[in-house]
Amino acid sequence: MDIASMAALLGAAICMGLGSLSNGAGIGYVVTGALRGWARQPSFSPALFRLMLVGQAGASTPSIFALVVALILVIKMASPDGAAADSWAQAAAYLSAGLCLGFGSLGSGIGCGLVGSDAVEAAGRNSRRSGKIMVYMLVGQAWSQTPNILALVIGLMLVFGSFGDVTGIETIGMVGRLTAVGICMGIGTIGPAVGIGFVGAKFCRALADSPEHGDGMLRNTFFVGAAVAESTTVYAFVIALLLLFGA
Amino acid sequence: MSRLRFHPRRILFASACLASAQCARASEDIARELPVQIEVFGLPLEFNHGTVMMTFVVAVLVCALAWLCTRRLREVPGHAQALFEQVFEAFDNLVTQSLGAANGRRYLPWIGSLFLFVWLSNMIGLLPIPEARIGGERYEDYNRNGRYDPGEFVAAGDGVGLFARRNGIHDEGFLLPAFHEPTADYNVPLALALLFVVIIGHGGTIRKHGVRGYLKGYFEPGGAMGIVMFPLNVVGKIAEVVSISFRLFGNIFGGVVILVVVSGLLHHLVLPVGLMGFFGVFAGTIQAFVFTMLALTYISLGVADAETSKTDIQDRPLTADANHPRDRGE
Repeated sequence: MDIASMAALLGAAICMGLGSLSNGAGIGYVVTGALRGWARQPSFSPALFRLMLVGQAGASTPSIFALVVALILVIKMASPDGAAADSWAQAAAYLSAGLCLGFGSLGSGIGCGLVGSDAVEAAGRNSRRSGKIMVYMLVGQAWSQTPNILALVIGLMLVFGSFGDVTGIETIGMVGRLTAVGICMGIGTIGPAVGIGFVGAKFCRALADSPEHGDGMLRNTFFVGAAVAESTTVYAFVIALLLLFGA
Repeated sequence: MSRLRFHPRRILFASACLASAQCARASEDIARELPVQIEVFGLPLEFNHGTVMMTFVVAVLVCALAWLCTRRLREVPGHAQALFEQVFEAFDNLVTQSLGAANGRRYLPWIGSLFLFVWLSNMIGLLPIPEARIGGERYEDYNRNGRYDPGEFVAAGDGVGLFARRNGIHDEGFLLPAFHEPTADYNVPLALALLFVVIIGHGGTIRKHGVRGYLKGYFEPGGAMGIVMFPLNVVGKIAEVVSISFRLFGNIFGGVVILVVVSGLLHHLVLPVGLMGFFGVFAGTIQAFVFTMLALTYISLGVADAETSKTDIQDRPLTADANHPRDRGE
């Protein structure tokens, strides 16, 4: 077995292992919110159950992204690109893609779970606003997945790019650079994704608890807060692109 | 009304039929996306024939549905009209709540058609309609004279014979691709994101605040930090387009990849049906809605008035729940 295939397998394992680590916890966390809401308003339980399923589906997206990259890595392993097969740089790219999506799914898995949990519980507290709460639950989860999606973009660049044509001493620099891309983008997503999850979760709760304020002011605070929390992952994205394409 | 009630068993049967037909061709889907190369003004451009055709099919379907359901509007709506009224009302509420009543109606046609288009795009792969070629018969050169003579046609089939030459060019007919999701090609979500986030969103901001106000937004938060914030804000605006388009693409493309791999492993046995239900119907609907909501959010960030929307009285929480032990004083 050549070095690139081994790195692809290792990358796929890291990607799927880390990718499902926190996502499972997040999906389970949605159920705790549903149970709390359920206990508050038993008569509303069928609607809460539907909302819980939607929240779980939204929360499972990060691990689906990880699964896609892991599958592509396994398929790449089965059919290596000839010349690139023995290249250390190509191997580093595959491993780095696994790191990127693996760590990249950690934060979003927790963040989406937080939003889903508080949203379902909030719908139990104020059932008349459950429609609006579902809309903003989906928006909050989608926003919490944004760092994950930036990681997916970098991961797909690493998987489909060809880095096998460097030789000699340049190989060491290339290997270091490609590994750095995965670490920068992957770990850079964890905090922002959880942070946006906090914002979205408390927004759903506020929506249920204080309707007299109207949702305009609350929504603006939510958007601004999430955008500021997201900006740090954009920094990581910029640095990852500079590492990938810079001089 | 009872005539139209959907029995779970009937839905299961129908989905099994659809899925078994679908799975048989799903494995070839990814390889079939061959781009057509055309030179325009010296620039070599590539068109994904399948994607372009499928976007047209979806657009025609949306138009046809809308026309059929609103053809004869009645006071007491029929089934189709009632369905469309529900969809319309839901989006009318969403848009007017985010953008205000007057502004909202301006953007409602865009947002509503965006949802219908993306939703049907995510769903259309469920229809098991195979590749079809209209016209363009193939011929076999029976008498080996190197050209087409009358009577040399053979039945259409992949790779059998050559295309008949008419007026000096090969008449390949018109190829309608096997039905698949156009949103699984990144070009479609990217085009939609550019249209809605850049043209409508940024254009709306310029329209509302003027070019000065729009450019000022790139230096927020202002003051001494303004110059430093400029590149970060630019990257943030680009990240909006990247994230909204890749979210749709990643989910739909991921569904296709997973379906193909699992179908291959299981030889198209039972499990792919459930997977299709999840990725095609469930995730497809949710992602279409999320895409629409985020587009609306990005538009509203630039366009909405500062005033907060009023809340109707029915949104107030239930003060006490008679069934709850704490509210009963136990």
